[in-house]
Amino acid sequence: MNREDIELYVMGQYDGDVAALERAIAGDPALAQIVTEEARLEELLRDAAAAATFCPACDDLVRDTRCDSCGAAVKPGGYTALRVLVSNAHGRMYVARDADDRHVALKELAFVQAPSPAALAAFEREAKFLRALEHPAIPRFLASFEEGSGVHTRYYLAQELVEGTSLDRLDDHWYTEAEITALGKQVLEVLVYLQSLSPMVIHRDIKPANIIKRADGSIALVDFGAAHVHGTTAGVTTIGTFGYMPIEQLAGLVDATTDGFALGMTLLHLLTRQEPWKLAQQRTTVNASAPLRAFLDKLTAPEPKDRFASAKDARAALDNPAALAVVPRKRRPLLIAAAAVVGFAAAGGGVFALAHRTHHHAPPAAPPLSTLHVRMTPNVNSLLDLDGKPLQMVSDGQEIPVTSGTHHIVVHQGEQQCMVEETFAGGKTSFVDCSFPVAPAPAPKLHIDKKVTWSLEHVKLHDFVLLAANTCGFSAVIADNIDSATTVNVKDAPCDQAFEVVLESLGLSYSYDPAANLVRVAPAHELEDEVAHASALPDGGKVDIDFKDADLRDVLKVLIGASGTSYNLVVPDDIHAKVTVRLEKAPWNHAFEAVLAAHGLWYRYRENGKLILIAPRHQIEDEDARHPGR
Amino acid sequence: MTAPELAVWDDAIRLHDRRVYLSVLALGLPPDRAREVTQQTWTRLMEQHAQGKLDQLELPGLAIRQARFYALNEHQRSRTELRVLAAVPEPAAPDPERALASRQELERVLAALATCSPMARKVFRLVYATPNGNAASAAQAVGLSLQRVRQILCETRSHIRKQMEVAP
Repeated sequence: MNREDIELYVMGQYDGDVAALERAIAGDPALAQIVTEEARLEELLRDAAAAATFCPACDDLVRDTRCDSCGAAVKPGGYTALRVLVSNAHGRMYVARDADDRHVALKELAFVQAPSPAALAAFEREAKFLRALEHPAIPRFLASFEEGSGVHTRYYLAQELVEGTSLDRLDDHWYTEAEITALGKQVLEVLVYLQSLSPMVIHRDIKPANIIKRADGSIALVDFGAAHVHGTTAGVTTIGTFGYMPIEQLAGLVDATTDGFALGMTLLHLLTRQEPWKLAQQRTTVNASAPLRAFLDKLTAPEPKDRFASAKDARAALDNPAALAVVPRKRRPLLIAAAAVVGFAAAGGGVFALAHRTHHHAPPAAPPLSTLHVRMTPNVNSLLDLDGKPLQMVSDGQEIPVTSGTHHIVVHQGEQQCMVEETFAGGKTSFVDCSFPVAPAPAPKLHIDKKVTWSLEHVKLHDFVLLAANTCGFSAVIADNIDSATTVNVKDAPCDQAFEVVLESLGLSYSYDPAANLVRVAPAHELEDEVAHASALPDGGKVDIDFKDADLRDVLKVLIGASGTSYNLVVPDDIHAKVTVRLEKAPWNHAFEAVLAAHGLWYRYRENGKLILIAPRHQIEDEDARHPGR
Repeated sequence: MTAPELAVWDDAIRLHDRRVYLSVLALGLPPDRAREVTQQTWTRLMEQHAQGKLDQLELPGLAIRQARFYALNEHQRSRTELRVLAAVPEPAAPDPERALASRQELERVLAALATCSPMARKVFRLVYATPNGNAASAAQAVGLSLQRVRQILCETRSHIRKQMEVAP
């Protein structure tokens, strides 16, 4: 009998023999005393939980309307945010509760810089569409509103919450032909409705992630952020998702066949469990009858004129699929079925290719899945490789479905690796134990569990740092002499690790000041020997700024201005630099030092005269070495 | 009492019974007596409600006050150790000093909670600040084993307990 047993008993979580435990408590005054203490603590914890407001994204305790740690909203527009469904560079999707205690989906649009007309137009377009739409498979519009101003502007769209699971999360499910057909019919019915409106509405982003399957099997089509009223100017903005959208959509051309094409790619994805872009690289077998393959073939024909002319035609064809199977194939006589996949060659700046893959008749038997159970100490989110391919971020206790057979598993925790070869038998769970030695007193690091998905081509480092700071909710400083561009592809990874990995790939690292929630990006070797210290500058005000490539002197003046004290600043004439800095409620003195350190500069502070003298850091260190104790 | 009324009471008891039981345990009653007092409390409230003597049913506050009253009586009757005197039922008029102390205690718990890991805070929120929250539902939500979630809860309690001891 130990304290933990009693804690679990008091929490109502004790799995053992409760009667025996209670007898032991009754016979031992010391144990009875512990029960009393733990029960009092339990009451206190329950009261504290009732009094606290938790951030819906990072679970930090929030005392304001927005979380200080990650920036998530807590009570936007009278709604209470309960949890974050999706988060990306443009904002978040919350599950929120309205004043009538109804759960709603609350879409938030956030901005790194003041919102552009295009961003506002997209938001207003979605609000306008949703307000006008009325279909059981489309979430009902409830309200739209904005909060904040400038870079802090947030736009919100409240919609009916669709309870269910998006199809991209059901990718371990082997779809039968009947399920694919039923799904196709349901989505086509929504498309028939959208195309019956005047003017016709084109969704432009049909994909598994935007189709929600409810518990009763019905579906809902969500995310009308890319929707387009046919007949209006499309412009050259490319909206949609690579792989699902037809090639002409890349040029901004959409018509009544566009959504049908994307639906066809979605159904192929579900049928083959291969993402569309992979279909172009692999020989993929479609487990379907000839009529269904013919239907998908027509739906995803590369040329719009070869597709079904409208959703209504496609819907009708599904009711009589046998008629499709006898349609002679003039264009692709050798193909049993084809998937047209848009490939994107980034280096060519827009070279696209269509690839057709032959599909075979023989349906594969779905292999039985086993379970890989990861046990890991310390419990730090880590990257798991399966057979040489990065699979996903894992934490202790996580279970992952894997195919039966022998797998090579590598768990990466920082620079440490845990390598295991494990054989999985059908349907059973195998444990992989990884115990990593704990490094002594590491430098403070960001710890943001929030998941991010970044897909950025040739993004400038400064832009990436600003984006990460805004998305993940930290302040950041970076000097202009560190400049490069990179391509970032991160899916559902924790903010902190994604940020770190991207910097690492560029030979960079960061120092983190937890008191100011401030990150300074610098070359890794420059940060290695840095020692944390208390600021010599007196505390003062906090500062909120967002500058890109700003003049160093101007930034220093702004920071001093925020201190609340009249300091005299002396900066040598030969010091010229630019800095990118985003600060949110950062103590002025921490931010001041971080900006200087980012440029290899430092300062001396003379309290008499409130004088701050700026100089190159090595100069100050040399002087200190010559005159210790100065 | 009609069947629908009984069903309402069943729901209320299912929802708040643990909280009421805890409040009696926290006064130092042994588990078996605490359980009896809790049952006695619910029976009494149901009787009073049936007789129309309760205008408003504020649960679990009303049940906790009633249960504490019974617990105090129990102590006085048995003349056992009066640990209970340290936490008597709420006085009729609010005591500003007690309210302040209680607020400060809550602030200390929240301050201690703020220094826990994000996962610990998440588990805490799921268990304590979510309607019908428990370790099993929290384990499912965070993708950890039930055992690990219980361990996290015990570690969090231990951390908060230590911080409360250190705090002035």
